[in-house]
Amino acid sequence: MIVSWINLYLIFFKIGMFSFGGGYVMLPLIYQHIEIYNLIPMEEFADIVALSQMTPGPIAVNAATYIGFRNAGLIGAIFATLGVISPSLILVFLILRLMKRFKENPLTQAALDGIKPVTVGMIGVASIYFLERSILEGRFFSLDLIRMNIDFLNLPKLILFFAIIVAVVKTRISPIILTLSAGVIAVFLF
Amino acid sequence: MTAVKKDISPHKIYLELFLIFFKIGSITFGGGYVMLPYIYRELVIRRKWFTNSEIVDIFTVSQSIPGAIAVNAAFNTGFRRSGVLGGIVATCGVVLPAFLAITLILYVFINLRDNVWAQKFLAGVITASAALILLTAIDLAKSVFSKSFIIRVTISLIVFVTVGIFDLNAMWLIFAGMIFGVLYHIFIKRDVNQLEKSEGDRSEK
Repeated sequence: MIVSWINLYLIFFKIGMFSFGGGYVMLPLIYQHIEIYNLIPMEEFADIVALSQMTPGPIAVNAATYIGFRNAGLIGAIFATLGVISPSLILVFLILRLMKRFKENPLTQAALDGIKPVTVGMIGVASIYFLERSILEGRFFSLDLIRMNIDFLNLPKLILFFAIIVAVVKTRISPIILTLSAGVIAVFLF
Repeated sequence: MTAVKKDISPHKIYLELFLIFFKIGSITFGGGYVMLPYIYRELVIRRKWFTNSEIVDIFTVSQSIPGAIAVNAAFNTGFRRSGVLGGIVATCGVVLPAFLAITLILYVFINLRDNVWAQKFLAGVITASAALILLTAIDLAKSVFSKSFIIRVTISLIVFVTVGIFDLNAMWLIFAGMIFGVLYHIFIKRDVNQLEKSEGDRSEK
């Protein structure tokens, strides 16, 4: 048990260390780590994100708590959560103590500039993953998409999907309300 | 500056830090960027603990280093306010609501997993998540591709294909991106700068 707790800490330390650019960007990273270390059944991954949407706080923390809990119980959840926040604490501490000029350092800026396009690619991967689990019936990278096969699309979900997009773009309803409403509508429609 | 209220007893400051960030952590859904305006309102406008430029500095650093932005910002503000312990207390405050919410849901959810209604509800939430993630992706792409368009689009496509189709470890690509950024800065940008400078010199002559 202690080994799996420490493992969880280290795995999530690594995830925290490499997660740039906010919650959704790091989803592929978390997905791959679940896969590599066989932490929880893969089909739960979409649930993690769904639950993170409905609960407060950073997605990284939600995901760490979920995976740690499912993998090794409450203490596992604590270790995973501590793991994902540890790099933040260490780095902020070092910057405040040692590198007062961190922001102005041209090399840090250059490295961050280099990461930016990578984050776009990664959030693209995350988008595809969730399209495949909602409006698409199958893989995105398949011939069905090119053939414009109508069976490839899940129509009720497609309608809900576009309703959400319109609501986000055109109204100021908060995403949490939209997310919960989508769940309630789905109970009646799907 | 930050020294104004140092006479308050330290326990009270720790408690206050914890409560502020617990509140911020409880009311914000959807992660880091959403929290920054709340932090600004609580710490700069209401409590006047930080000046505008200090909070901008905190936010910039929080977004420049890896990790959850909210956690970075909480530790940074707590630390500046009252040292390492202050930072840790603020971090606990911002993390605890997320931790408790997920733990509670899991205790309930495990029994609900196979329930048809719960699955339909989740399917709706996942559909909404797909929409929100796609919109975030478009926003991010717009802002990142506004500069050095061709190079950045190429890199993004490489990442998209290698991670999305070939399942290459995303960590290596982040690492490669950092190295590319630094090399680009050292070799290409500097050449451009020097070229401009030498041309400037020539035109002065």
